[in-house]
Amino acid sequence: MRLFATSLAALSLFLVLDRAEGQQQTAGVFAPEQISVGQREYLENCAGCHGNTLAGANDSPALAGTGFMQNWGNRSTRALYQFISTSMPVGNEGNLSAGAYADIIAFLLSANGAKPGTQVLTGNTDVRIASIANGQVPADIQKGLVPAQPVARRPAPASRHGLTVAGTVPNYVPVSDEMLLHPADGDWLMYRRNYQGWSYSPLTEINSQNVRLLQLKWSWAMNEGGASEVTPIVHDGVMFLSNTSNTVQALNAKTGELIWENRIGPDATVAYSGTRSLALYQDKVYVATTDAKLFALDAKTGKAVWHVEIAPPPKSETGGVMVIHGKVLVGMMGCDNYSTVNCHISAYDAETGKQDWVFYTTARAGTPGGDTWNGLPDTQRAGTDTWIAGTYDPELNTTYWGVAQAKPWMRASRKTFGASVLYSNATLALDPDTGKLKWYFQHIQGESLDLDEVFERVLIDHGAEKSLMTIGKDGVLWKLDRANGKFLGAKETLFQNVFSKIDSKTGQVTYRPDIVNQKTNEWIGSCPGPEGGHDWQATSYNQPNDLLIIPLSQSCVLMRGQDVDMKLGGGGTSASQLFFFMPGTHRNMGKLVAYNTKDMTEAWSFQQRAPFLTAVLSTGGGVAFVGDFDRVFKAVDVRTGKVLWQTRLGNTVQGYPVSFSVDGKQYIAVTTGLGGGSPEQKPTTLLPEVHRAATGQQLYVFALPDGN
Amino acid sequence: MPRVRDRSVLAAAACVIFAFSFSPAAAQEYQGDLDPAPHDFSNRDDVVGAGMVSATLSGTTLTIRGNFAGLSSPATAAHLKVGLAMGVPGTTIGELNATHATKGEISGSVKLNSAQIAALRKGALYIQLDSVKGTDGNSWAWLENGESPGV
Repeated sequence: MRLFATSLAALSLFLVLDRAEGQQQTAGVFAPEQISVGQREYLENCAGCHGNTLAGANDSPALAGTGFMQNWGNRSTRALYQFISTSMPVGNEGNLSAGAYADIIAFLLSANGAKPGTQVLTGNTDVRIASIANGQVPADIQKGLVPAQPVARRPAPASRHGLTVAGTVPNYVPVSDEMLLHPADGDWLMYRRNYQGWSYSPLTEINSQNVRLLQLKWSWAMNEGGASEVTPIVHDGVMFLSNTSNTVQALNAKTGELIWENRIGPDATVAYSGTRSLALYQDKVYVATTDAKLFALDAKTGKAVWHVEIAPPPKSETGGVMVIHGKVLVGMMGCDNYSTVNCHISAYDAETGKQDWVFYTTARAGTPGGDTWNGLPDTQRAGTDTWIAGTYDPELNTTYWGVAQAKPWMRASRKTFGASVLYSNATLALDPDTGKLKWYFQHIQGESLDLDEVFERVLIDHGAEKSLMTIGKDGVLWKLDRANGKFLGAKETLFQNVFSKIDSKTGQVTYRPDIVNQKTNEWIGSCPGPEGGHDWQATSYNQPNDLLIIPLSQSCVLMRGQDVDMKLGGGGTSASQLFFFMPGTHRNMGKLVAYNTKDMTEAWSFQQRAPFLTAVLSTGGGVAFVGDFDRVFKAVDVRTGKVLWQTRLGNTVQGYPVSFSVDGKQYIAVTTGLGGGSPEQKPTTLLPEVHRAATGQQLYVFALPDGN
Repeated sequence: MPRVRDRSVLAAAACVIFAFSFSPAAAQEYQGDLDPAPHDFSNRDDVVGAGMVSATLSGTTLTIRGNFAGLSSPATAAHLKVGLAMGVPGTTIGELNATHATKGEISGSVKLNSAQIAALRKGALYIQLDSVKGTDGNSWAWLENGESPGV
């Protein structure tokens, strides 16, 4: 104990001396020992979202440097305590001790150049932050904090890694190219089931007449911690399931019996780190991990066959992978901060893992489109993540990917102003064999409000018309000619106030003037906000009825961009947000809408209080399935939207529902989950009457009663 | 004579048109839900409450009536505001009356200029209700007239 106390004191002294250098503020309002304790609490509860450099990521703002000081400099330590102690950590709001919150604030003040003093900071300490901190981040924090010991998590997942349950899939049948092109009716072999991205199962046993009889057949508790937004993959009666903490399991899809498990790791941190989909090809299952590695596992046994690094830390990947012509294609995310590595899509030999090609989604200086970043150096071209896997047209031999927005979110923060910043918010058409760009279509030039156009590209044919449809956070449904990228049409699916005009011939959008002329530290209104509109909860194309069924969310934000440190590690998303209900919606955040894809007319829609947190699955039985934030999983009639059946699950229904069959019987699988970005944050704030358990990441499998 | 009669008919028609243009029949009705103003998780319990607002534009005068309930602190003021578009906050163009309680009524009339009338028609006018805890706005109600809102 004495040794621990001595060590703690020495560490505190080191931190004090290290951070006192170059500071001119008045003596601080926290004790030296609060810094190291607060740092430990920060690593445990905050770093998962705000990062080990405090630079922020995704929806989590920077907690050190220029952005933090702009946001909090003129407010008080008491206001910061009030904010953090009521709203943090996400998913466990207000549940740390008062001392822990105070110590975290002491650490944050220290990380922004404040000196410690003799008094202990508490929730009642009331000092203007700019009077004690200057935003100068100590060198050790700029390099990135390293936990001295494994960080405890809520709730703690198993820490053992590797093949944790050994077993063998009996009579495994390798997945061929032909199977990927023409999947068996009972299989769900890839993210959106087919290369065209339909999320449509041709199975018909469950239909609009008997869906009311659905009953739970089996369930499976999944890893807690992190964000679960998963697609179960099913082949020949075996389910391959990706859990958080980069855990892959093989289960008997009929009985729920575990066959093998590989806990690849690293373990999930608070809030993020979901993996949306695995891929199957031949005798391997592929998973891209949250620390940006690509693993090939033996599909029969779960043993790792090879792995490669997609990009160095702190890059990550959550969007899932796809296999085309024996190549594993994977995107990248985690490109929020300024870095020497720009975001890219890359391809690897499925057998060996050897990298085949790389396509940079950030147009770099000296390359086509490289002059669209207002002259910024490549190291300050952040964002353009690809966090949703692509689709593929075998006839045109073209793969289609959506690209996310540039970072920081707001053009005034990232200093690109009116520049278009390619290939942000664009559809890319790539040759899957070479990675060469065939064409691109940028939906929003110089996007400035965290309104990604990154989501699924759905490939639909009407006679000779080969189209690609996609919808982004702005709620605009786009139709392109997928042979050449020509604009075919656009439809506003809900209220939006971001664009004053969408050119009906070219699709060129015109921003509202105050968005164009934005400055940092000014609030800008945006409907929809970063929840979408449409988000990662994917659409379903029900081919028999030619309907695209789209889950939408209806909320708005005020967004305020901050200035950022224009140096390596700087940047980030760098904007604050306030949320409000979308006008005219009577506080209904959820909207489900179906569009006739040929003429882009609305077929039906309905609204409800809770937003939808799953993708839509539709089937040959004329039923569409979708789940919501308030734990309800429901089936609706594809042709009318009428609710046919619903049940309430253990927590938010979150993920990608799928349908499969075993021994001729049709099943519906769906997950509940927690964690994630805006689609979780906005309803958590706007719907205070929705109470959710702190745990409950689970798989549920439904079917009709036996003998029905 | 016929020409005189024609002129009389025309004059009468002009009078009817003139009269109708300022008659109560030309009044336009608007309404909106009173929803929580923009907030984050840390102050979501401070900006609660709900209500309804209706407004009638007669000539250039906008008359507003509404009610609210369920605030976590007493209302302190109500304003008519105009933004660039529906959902985009802006500046105050008129003061309204509000019951200084957690439940009550909003009322008042504001004379609008032509630009403000145009903004009303495109959905860019809103009522902001302030409260003791929601000093920068406890609630917003964007005025709509049933047509699709948009910029």
